[in-house]
Amino acid sequence: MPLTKLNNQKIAANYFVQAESLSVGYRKGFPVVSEINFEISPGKTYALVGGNGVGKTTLFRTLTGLIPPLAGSIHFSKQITSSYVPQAKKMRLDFPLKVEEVLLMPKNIGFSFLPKRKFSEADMLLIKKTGIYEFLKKQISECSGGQLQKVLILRSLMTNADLIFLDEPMDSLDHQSRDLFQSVLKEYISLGDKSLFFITHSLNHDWKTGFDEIYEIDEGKFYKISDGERPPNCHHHD
Amino acid sequence: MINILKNWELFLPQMVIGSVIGALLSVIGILLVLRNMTFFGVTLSQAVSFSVAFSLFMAWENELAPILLSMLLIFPMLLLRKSNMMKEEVILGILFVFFASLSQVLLALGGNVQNHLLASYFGDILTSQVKLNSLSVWLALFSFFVYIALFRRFLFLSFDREEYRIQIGNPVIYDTIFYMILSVAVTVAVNLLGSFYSIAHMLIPVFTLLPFVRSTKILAILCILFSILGTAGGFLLSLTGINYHGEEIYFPTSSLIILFLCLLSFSMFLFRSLFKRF
Repeated sequence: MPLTKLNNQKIAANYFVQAESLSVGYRKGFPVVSEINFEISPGKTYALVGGNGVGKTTLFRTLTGLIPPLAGSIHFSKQITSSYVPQAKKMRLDFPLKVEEVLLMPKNIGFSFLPKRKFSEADMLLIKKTGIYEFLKKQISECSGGQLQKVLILRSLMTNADLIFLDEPMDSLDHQSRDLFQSVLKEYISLGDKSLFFITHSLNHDWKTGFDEIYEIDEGKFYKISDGERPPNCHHHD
Repeated sequence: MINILKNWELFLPQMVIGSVIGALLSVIGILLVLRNMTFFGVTLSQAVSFSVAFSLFMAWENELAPILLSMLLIFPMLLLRKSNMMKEEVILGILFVFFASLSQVLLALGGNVQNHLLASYFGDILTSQVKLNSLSVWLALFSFFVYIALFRRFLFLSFDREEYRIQIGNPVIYDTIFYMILSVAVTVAVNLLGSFYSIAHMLIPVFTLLPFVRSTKILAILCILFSILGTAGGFLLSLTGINYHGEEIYFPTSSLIILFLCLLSFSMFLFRSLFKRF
């Protein structure tokens, strides 16, 4: 395990998240996936694959604290911050908001009478680098699916979270944007001890240099593909 | 009408109250509509009518009584709305008729049923004994101030609740504050001006203006103006009587305000579709 960058207190526990005998789902007694055991360590990239409806997003929702686990436990390293990049199609487009307002929203939750916070220099660099600057003033309702996906990824990057969960983030991006965002995300994890956890259907397309760990969900069970485990209906074709 | 306008000072306080409460509701309605809680707001107005009727029935003279009761009612309503028993709109529909009927039964116990029925649904600004410095009006204004102060947080919470939970934390406190503001504003409005008047101001301005506006700040300002215009227009119309079968007829002020708001709304939609076509 390449833990050469583990030099601050934040990651003293050697992991960001540790799941033990975890069961996830929405109804007690009906787990979607059970017996999940894994760790998310700093500075690594993770992929979760599996067919439609096997419980990938349910696992993400549990790991981000949006739904409680049905059984087992999740231990979080105390000081970590996380963010979640949903699929662009889940974004609410009926709000009269500009792209820049969506990006600044997490920074601007103070009293309305106070002046609004603006983009930092680092944020502005990222905005320009990712090409979002060109449609910063555009209404979200007028953005394409790909543009919205870029906005959602950038919003997470701007939070400087230690761990980012990305739900099929590259699906609506064209070839060029996919390469661009992979390089931006790579830079992001190389700057600090950050980790990325993808839900993906295409391992090579989403992360060309290869994920550090690959997991798969199949028939309610959790497999660690990178350790040689193989589910009955293998989905990690590439 | 000219004669009536000579006694303008008699009507001015009522018109100001109607405009203030209507404008306040129209801004609160922005997040209600954006949160897809329109039908919840409509049902809430009937639950609030019950609170008002129950306070009357119990002869509680304190202005805070119906407000506190509404605050107590809103939370079980929210729980029921999200329960897995049946579809949300079915639950809200049942609650709507339940509270509407219950409040009418309670009002009937006070006698003078017809007047009470009419007042609870439509109210009447013109005959309302509202005073600008009453406790409930101040409470509504205070809750509006809190709503505006926390608007950015409420907006984030409404736009992407999941990201809010991940980044900021559990939204339960701010959700509670939002629903308390909503119940205070709607209770004061229903108590003073009737439930239909409250629904109309909460929904019509934001529904009408949302397709035209590209900023929440501008939307809030235009909702206030739209609401005030509707109130003033309807109010002035209600001062004009018509001769019907030899009798001078004056229409109820609140109903005319609602109709005026609807007319403004339809005109804007018509204008928009014509503009798009040509």
